[in-house]
Amino acid sequence: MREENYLYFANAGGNDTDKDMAMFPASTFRGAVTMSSTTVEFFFAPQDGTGTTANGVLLTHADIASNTTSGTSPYADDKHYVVMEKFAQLASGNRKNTTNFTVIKDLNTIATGSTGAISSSGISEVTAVAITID
Amino acid sequence: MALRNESPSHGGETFVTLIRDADEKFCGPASNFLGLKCDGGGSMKLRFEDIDGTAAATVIDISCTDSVGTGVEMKRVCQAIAGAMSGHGVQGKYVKIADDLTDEFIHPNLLSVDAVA
Repeated sequence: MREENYLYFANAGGNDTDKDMAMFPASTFRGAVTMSSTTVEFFFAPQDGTGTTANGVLLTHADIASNTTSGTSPYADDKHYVVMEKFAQLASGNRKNTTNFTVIKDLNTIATGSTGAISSSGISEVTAVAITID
Repeated sequence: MALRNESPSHGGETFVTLIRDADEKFCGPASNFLGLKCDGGGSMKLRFEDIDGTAAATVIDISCTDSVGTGVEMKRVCQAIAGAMSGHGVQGKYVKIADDLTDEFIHPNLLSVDAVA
C-alpha cells in the first residue's frame, strides 16, 4: 500500500452543519477547473462509492482581474494558478516522514495553542469553501 | 517474461476497524477509504468502498466532541483517523479507530460509533 495523503477542507461554519467539512484521500483527486474569475473547483471521486458524479470543493479567491503583473512569471500572481499550484504542492508532496493529514483550507478560527497540522489554515489566498457531496 | 510491479491485493495493507456493538462492526483496508464529511454538529460520516459488491459505499456514522464552536475537535479526529490509516512503513497493521463495546477510541474527542451500514 502506498502512503496516502488526506486532504482537509472546512468552511467557516464551525463544523456544525452538513458538509461544513470534508476530507478526501489525495488519490481520489480527479482534477480542478476554473469556474469563474474568482473560483476554482477541485473534484474528487464521489464518497458514495458509485464512481459517477464527482464530489466538488469550490474555492473562492481574489478576482484575477485585480492581479498585478510581476514580470517574473508568465502567470504573475494569477490567483487561479496560485491556488492550483499550492494545492498540487500540498496534495502530492513527498509524504515520507511528514504528516499525512494536510489542511488545504480551514476557514474556522484556529484554536489557541494548536500545533502542527491542526494549527494550519491552509492556502492563504482562499476566502471561501463550498463542499458538494451528493 | 514481463516484470510485474504491482503489489498483491492489499499486501502490506493497513486495516482499520470500527465497532458499534455486537451486531455492527466494520473492518476494511485503509485504501478503500473514500473520504469523510461533517454531517452536523459533532457528527461525521466515514465512507469506504462497499464490500458486498454493490456500488453504494459502506457508511459509518461517528460522533465527536463539539464544544469549542470552531470545529477543532472534529479536525483533531480527522487528523487521528488520517494517522491511523497511514502505513508509516509498518506492514500489515490492524488499527482500531473506535470500539464502543470496549470504550476504546483513537482520540479523546472521538466519542462513539453510531451506525455501520
